[in-house]
Amino acid sequence: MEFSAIEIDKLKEIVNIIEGNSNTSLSKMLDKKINMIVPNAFAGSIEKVHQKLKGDDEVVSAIFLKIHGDLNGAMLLTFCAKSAVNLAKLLGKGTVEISDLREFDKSALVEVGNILFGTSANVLADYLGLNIGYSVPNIATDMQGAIMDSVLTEIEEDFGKTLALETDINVEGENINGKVYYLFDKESTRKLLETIKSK
Amino acid sequence: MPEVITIKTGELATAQNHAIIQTGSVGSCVVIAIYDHKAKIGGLAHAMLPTRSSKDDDDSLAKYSDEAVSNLVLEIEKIGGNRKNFVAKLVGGGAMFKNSTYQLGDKNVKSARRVLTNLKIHIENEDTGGNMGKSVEMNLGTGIVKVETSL
Repeated sequence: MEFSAIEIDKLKEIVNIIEGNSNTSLSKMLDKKINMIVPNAFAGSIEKVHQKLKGDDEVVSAIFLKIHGDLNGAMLLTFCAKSAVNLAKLLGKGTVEISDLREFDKSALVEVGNILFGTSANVLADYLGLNIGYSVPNIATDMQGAIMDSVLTEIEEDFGKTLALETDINVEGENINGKVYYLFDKESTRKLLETIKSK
Repeated sequence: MPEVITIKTGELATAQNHAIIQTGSVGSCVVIAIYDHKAKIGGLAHAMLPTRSSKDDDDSLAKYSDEAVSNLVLEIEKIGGNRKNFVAKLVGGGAMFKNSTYQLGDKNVKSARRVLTNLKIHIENEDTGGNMGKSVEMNLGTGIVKVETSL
């Protein structure tokens, strides 16, 4: 699965539109300015994408949900342990230690994930005129790579080819840095590109 | 210092002479360690999916659990291993997300087990299932496989 530079730009543009809206919702929730930059798009066989995205054995808190309907894929939001702790504090969850993250991830991260992904899915559906549903969010705190392999294989068992759009997210003035990933299978990526041609 | 080889997802490596083969971030993937106690050689594979679909023309040796086992066996034989002396250990096959419907980790482990059984290679030990990410380190001098979790 290869894309031209123009197609990659088009795909990044979709993510920009999605994130413009979800950014506003999240910014209201946290009462902070949120910066989101789409730095990377990776496409190819699942293990190659995995090798690009997996990072080290760094522990992250992750929320993930699957998209189904006209598009098949997943949305994933991850925060490194330090950022997850800071996020919990910002959300008024008191002092959270890194060792508490497995409990913490059930609350604060779900709230953030729901706002971000709920808005994203709606914008994606409205803007592209597609029918998109999404699953209940899944949460885990563990090694980045271990989480990534579970997410990628959940969406791509059949084809082994996937597209990943990676976004850096940070809360201005706070030490909170995370990453948002939009992942689509091969068929859905084609559909995305076709749909945006008419835009 | 022993030689340290790091493998990524979808890769395998064989070694001898007290080398260490390691791989990190094992979630629903399965890691297969095969060791020849007599020759003190062996190898490690880090597979991601249970079995090849007809649509995939990928040529990686260890992307699929079943192929990873048979390729790992062949590779160890190439450096002088004898299949009759092989024993295996399996790590991984977890479900990182609790309400996952796919059971992919479990399928990965079953697929590896099936091939090992067919090849009559004894599975000495397993650390599979659960919902923790793991890193794995195999010592080729002893055949010991060390498993670590992140939290």
